[in-house]
Amino acid sequence: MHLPSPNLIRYRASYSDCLGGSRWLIAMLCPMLFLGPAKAQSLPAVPGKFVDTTASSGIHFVHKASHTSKKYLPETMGSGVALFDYDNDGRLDVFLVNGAPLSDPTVPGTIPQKAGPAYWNRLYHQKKDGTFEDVTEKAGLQGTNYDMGVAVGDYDNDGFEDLYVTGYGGNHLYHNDGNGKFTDVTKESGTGGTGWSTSAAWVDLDNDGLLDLVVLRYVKWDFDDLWCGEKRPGYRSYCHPDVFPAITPLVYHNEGNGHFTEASAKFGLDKPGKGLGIALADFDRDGRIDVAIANDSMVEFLYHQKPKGAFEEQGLMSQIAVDGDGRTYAGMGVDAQDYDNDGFPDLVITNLANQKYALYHNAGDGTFDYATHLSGVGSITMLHSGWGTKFFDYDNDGLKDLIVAQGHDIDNIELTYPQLRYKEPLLLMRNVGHGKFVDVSASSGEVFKQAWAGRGLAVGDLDNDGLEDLVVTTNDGPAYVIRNETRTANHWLTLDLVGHKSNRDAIGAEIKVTTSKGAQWWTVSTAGSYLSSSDKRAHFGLGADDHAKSLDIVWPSGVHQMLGEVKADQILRVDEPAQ
Amino acid sequence: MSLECNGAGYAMRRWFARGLTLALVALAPSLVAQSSTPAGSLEKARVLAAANHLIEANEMLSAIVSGDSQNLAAWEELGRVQLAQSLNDDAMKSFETVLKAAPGSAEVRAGEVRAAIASALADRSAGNADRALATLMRAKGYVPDSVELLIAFGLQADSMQIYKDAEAALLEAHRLEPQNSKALYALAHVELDEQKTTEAEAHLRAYLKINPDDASAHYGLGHLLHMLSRDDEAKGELERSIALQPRQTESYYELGQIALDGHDDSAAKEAFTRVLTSAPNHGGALTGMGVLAYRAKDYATAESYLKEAVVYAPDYVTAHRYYAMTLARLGQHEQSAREMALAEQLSEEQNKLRHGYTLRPGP
Repeated sequence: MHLPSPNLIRYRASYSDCLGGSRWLIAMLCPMLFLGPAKAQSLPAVPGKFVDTTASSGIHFVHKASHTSKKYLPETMGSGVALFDYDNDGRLDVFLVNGAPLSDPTVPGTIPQKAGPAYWNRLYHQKKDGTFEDVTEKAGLQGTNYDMGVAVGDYDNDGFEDLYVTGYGGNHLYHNDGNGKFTDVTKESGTGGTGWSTSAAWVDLDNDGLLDLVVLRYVKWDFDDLWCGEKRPGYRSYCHPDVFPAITPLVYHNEGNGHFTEASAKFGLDKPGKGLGIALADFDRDGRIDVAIANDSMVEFLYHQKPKGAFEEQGLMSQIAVDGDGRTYAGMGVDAQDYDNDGFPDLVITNLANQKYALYHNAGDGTFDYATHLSGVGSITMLHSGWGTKFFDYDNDGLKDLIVAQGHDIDNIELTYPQLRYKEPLLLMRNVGHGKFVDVSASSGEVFKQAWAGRGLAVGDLDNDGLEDLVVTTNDGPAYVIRNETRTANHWLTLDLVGHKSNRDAIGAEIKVTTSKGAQWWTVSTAGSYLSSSDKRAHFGLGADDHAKSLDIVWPSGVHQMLGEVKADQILRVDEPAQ
Repeated sequence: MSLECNGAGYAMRRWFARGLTLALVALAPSLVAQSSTPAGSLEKARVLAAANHLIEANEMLSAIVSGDSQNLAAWEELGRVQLAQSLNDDAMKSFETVLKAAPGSAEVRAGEVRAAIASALADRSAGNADRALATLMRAKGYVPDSVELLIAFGLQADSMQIYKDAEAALLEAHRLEPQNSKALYALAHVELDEQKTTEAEAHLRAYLKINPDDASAHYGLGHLLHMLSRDDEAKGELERSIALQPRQTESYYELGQIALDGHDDSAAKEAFTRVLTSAPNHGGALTGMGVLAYRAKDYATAESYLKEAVVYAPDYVTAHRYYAMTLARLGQHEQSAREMALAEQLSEEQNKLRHGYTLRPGP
């Protein structure tokens, strides 16, 4: 997060040589001074059709950031959204995270508490007619603190999705009791944590069939009265994360009895960072899940899991730690999927304007290529600031596209950078094959013309029509329900994996779907994006094919399952076989 | 013949002037006392100064202003003499004495600007950037609308990562003289440092309208356009720069970087090789060659390039990062870890430096 003032130089000759001595005023004329295998064919830029249905959806959520004159950092970080089916009625429900009131000033050491319904987190149940009803109170999910993130996972394998809510001053684990109610089991589970937590991910780190929990923390922070930005009225801004120390994540190992043990050091996931986004994938296809972390204004992390289960941070060696010029940037949102259908999961990390969203193509040898320039993502995103992001195939053509929730973190950025905006529209980048993306936002619906302080974003097929929809949160503003109404004859297949030996959500499973055009892969995960949790079901666009030729699933347990021809345009439940 | 005549005339004038000066110098100790009026003394000092007897003129003028600190004409003359003596700080004080009473005096303002810039240059050469900046800032207080001074201040501040103040000064210079190409170029530079790419491009293009054949500016614009991922346009500008100034390295290097980013490895290699032919110690091109070799899994070659690159470009993070990765591939894990730690440290440091500083006081 935060604007890095910028050395845009890759390499430059001695600046002082050019500016020194009697040549000073003619130095401006010194020449050195000036800073110095996708299978698919290229396709025409078919726009999507996305419609803002918030008004008629029944979801009337407004995030409360509680802005103060002190510009406390949490005020601008926004909140997350989860798309999950908490009551197993086959329809996705929506959970939205909210803040808490802040006094101005707030005394250091304060843990802000929610004060009434305006600050509650909200659970919206989807009814049969596709609208939503607020069931927060019934579910007991109002929340407690200044909350921020949410992660969905069935940690006790009871068939009901549970919720983990992060925030400033402590986190909360809510057990889904299966009767529409959730019980706060934070204390007995030992997952409360301390400090300022952001994105979290449920993942079975040791393949014992139980989901563990990785919780990122942002920085060591308190309500100190720090003035950042120019010292003149109207110019105070949120402090850059460089001002605050990095902090280790929290890693909770699921002991299987409702209790978790903090095990970040044991797993080797204890390098201090400034974590905002987390994504999962088996990047080197060695059968063990790896973890990518988007850090703000420091090196990005890629934790590779070694054969004995511990992780080793290899961001720099794998070439995802910095951008193509060796610079760090403000990593915020992250997602991992295989966008070019070569069998290896790739990475996207969003950041701030002038940094260009980082797209890393997995070279398949343990390293990544910085593909921002080559893919077109660089020129598209140069002036944008991105948060939540997901790979998803909005038009079911078999190539995963990219969606990004956007907006700068500094609410007065226009004062110092007139070309930048605090509020920005969503960005939709269509994957046109051969590793290239094009911006189709302008032609994909009026919703892409609305400027928001976008933050959280989750993807899921809300109406089970085979087109993936979106829910987006904004900082100190409404959440938006955006339906995908793209007109396409392309076919699709959604897989709802149910683990038995593996964790029930099948998080970490790798799915390969083969059509007449070739294969495509998907890693099952509810993580990715920013502070948010997406539909766990795996969605594939099949293009013109009305069936998939085959499905190959590698379950986290190591079980390899193959299915023959599978009819398209259905949501198919697949149970993990015994062998 | 003519040359001889001219030579004789020159010698004659020198002789006459020297004789006059010697006469005046001989009288110097008592000149002030003997002069009936301060105006007379001042006139005599001017004669001394004109004859390049600056020490004596300085002494005489100092005597006048010590007797009459309100004698602005003497202060002005003293400032001129001090400036000629390269006593720049003293000159500034003298000019500023005048400017406090008569802020509109054009000649004195010009003197203040010249003295300030000369003083700042000397400080800068001596490695004292802070003092250079302070000197320029002080002069700016007396002569706030000197375009020359604003540009000098902007350049100095920019070099010290004081971007906002640099930009403010250069914007004012540009406002005062919209067609001043130095102001445009310097402004574009600081805007680029601030990542105000839209403004930087506009100002650079405005500069190029005035100076269409400036190879450096075409290079700068090409660099900027590459940063904006507008590589086709960037190539056009870089090729224009090369056409104007074939004997250069930077445009070739930038073309190499564009090719490298686009994974056109053969074009990148050609461009970097060209750079290294004329500038074998070019850290950027050495790194580029190292990256290409690393990509080709030719780790021994990569090591040889990158080992040199980190010597010639010790602050270049990419060089250290690829060197570390190469060493790891070669099994030199300890050295690799050290290089990687260094890369990380440099990256963090440079990240912090990029935020810039500000001179503005609090409210």
